[in-house]
Amino acid sequence: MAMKNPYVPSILTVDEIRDETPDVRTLRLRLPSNGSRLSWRAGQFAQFTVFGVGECPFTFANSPTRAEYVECTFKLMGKVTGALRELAVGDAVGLRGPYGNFFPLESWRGRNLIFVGGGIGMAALRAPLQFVLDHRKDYGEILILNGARTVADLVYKEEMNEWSAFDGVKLIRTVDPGGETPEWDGEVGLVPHVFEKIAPTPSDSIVITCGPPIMIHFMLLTLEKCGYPKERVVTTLENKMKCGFGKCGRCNVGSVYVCKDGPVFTAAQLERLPKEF
Amino acid sequence: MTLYLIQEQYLRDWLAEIIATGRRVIAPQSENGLVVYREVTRAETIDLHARAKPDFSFKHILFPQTETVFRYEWRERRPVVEDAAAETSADAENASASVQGEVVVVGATPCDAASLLVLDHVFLADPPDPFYARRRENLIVIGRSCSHAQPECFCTTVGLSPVSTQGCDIFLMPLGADLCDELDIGSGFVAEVLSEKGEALVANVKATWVKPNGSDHSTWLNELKAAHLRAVQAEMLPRRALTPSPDELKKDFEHPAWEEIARACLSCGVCAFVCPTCHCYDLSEERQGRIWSRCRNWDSCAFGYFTLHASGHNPRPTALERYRQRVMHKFCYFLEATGANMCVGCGRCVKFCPVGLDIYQARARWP
Ligand SMILES: Cc1cc2nc3c(=O)[nH]c(=O)nc-3n(C[C@H](O)[C@H](O)[C@H](O)COP(=O)(O)OP(=O)(O)OC[C@H]3O[C@@H](n4cnc5c(N)ncnc54)[C@H](O)[C@@H]3O)c2cc1C
Ligand code: SF4
Ligand code: SF4
Ligand code: FES
Repeated sequence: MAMKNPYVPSILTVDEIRDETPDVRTLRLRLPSNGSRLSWRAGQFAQFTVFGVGECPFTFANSPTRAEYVECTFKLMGKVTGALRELAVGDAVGLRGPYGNFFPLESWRGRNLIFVGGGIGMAALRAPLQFVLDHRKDYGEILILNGARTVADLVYKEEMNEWSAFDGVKLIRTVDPGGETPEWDGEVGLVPHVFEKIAPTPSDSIVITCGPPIMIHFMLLTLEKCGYPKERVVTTLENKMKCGFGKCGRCNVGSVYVCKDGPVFTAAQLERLPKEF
Repeated sequence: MTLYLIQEQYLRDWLAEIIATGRRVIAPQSENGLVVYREVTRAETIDLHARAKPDFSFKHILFPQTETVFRYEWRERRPVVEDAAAETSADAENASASVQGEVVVVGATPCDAASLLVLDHVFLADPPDPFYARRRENLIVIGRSCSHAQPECFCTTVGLSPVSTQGCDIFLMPLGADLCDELDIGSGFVAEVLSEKGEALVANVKATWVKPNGSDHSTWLNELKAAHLRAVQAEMLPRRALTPSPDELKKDFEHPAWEEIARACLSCGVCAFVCPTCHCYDLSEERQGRIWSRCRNWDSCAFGYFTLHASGHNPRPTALERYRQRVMHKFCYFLEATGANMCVGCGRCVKFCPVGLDIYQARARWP
């Protein structure tokens, strides 16, 4: 009667390495050759191991509609992300998951969707975006607002162009004041300011926003000001995590465990939590 | 529930028999000036009349302070992983054929036994923790009533008491001298056998367990317990019951009193390490020679890095937020989720806090 050990990762293999910016990289990982499959929902995350170094959580950056491989996009922060950058094609990466809840994409059918991503936060929006584009006719108008500190820090540059080529998809890119280059033809300004300027109408749309805590904070204020109902504003939290399944206590905020009850929350749910994220 | 009377000498013989069958027996023992739950090999060393509760709980039996969850080594530039839970489970399979895997805790205090309900809630929830689950399956708890309260004890304010039996498979209470005289048994115990595990242990290990005469024992037992409780309670500091009030606590999340309550906290984490119900842990990489392991180690929400993001952002940056988290998690969030406090009132965190922070006082400020 062997009970499954939830701490043991599967071993995946680095298949492709893509640099998004000077400090953000996307890895495409090949699933184990023993035929094991992995299924997840957009918004879920996994714990990634660099053997000999440690573990850290990343969101699944690719949509489950493209589940032949796993992608993660990560920013260089410290120990594990530093070691992850040392890996070459063919090297092993551990993965356990999927964990957490997910974006309720099924229930958003027919809606207009507004994706607002700042910096590495865009990684969490890539899976739902790919999903929606893979089911393009099921959804209404799509607006993508993508911001970064400088032009060099914008992620998924080529993919953004592909995405914006779809019918009914509008892309707006912005960089913080001072982060622009002479050739820059996008917006200049902080994400919440640019959002307020373009002020898409709240009717029938869902806003999905992800970015650094400070950006989320101001985005939520802006959305409230623009009249978006809190139930239709969705974000993801990034509390410190260890186990990923509601035991180690790290990610506890009020009555929820972000790893298990999140990471996806509506602004209405966040309002009921202590501000410890 | 089955009720037995047993003479002290027979109880000892029974415990000796349990040890002789190869089961591991854990009981409070003196070690370096502290009383701690440790394995005993001779039944005579078990103190059936201990005055004080042990300094630490037996949490470490189920949830060791440090433990390997898996190991790996490099072969041809690939990690080869070995599941540490497979060993626990192989051990357990051999064990179920004999009884070697069983661990019997003798003399658990009501607070320590009750803490199992909290740990079970966390570690047995989906996905069950295989390390904890294995050991829990093999654990048998023989509790005992507390004969004396210590100054830090406040179990009666959180719904427990010196005679509560939650978490016990068997519960022992010494019989008073007058009752022993009446029954002519020198000195003895009344034993409540509360679970199938307890029944099996009484049935399988030979000894003289006597069922008391008469049919209605519940009145008699309740009176005995009430008298026992009165005697112990007379020694306890007067305190009021902490009625469940998650809403009050939540409402006062921003109350200025938290500043005053937590001001002295050193963020040392001692409170969590001595707490029978605290269960937060860290996972880290360790290495011995060619073998790497992923280790799980006790951790504490008192530590500043506990919630620190890699970006430097910290949702609980000072001792105020962190001590408040300790109180709120125990008396509000867990209560909401399960209907029970995540505190058994053992008072160990009060006794061992280097600056004397008192969680009962912190909580008792609110209705
Ligand atoms: C659900 C979820 C999804 C995520 N998805 C993504 C994603 O898709 N892409 C992405 O890039 N990131 C993502 N993150 C964030 C990512 O997990 C962290 O950036 C990553 O864990 C950093 O790890 P590190 O070892 O490189 O950093 P380190 O800084 O080495 O982190 C180790 C830990 O040590 C601690 N630490 C750091 N500095 C200090 C110090 N000075 N003193 C004491 N302790 C310190 C911190 O608590 C830190 O978290 C996600 C996080 C969560 C919770
Ligand atoms: S409450 Fe006391 S024991 Fe707990 S962390 Fe603060 S100083 Fe240490
Ligand atoms: S919080 Fe303190 S009093 Fe309550 S169970 Fe833990 S150590 Fe005992
Ligand atoms: S990461 Fe362990 S409880 Fe959420």
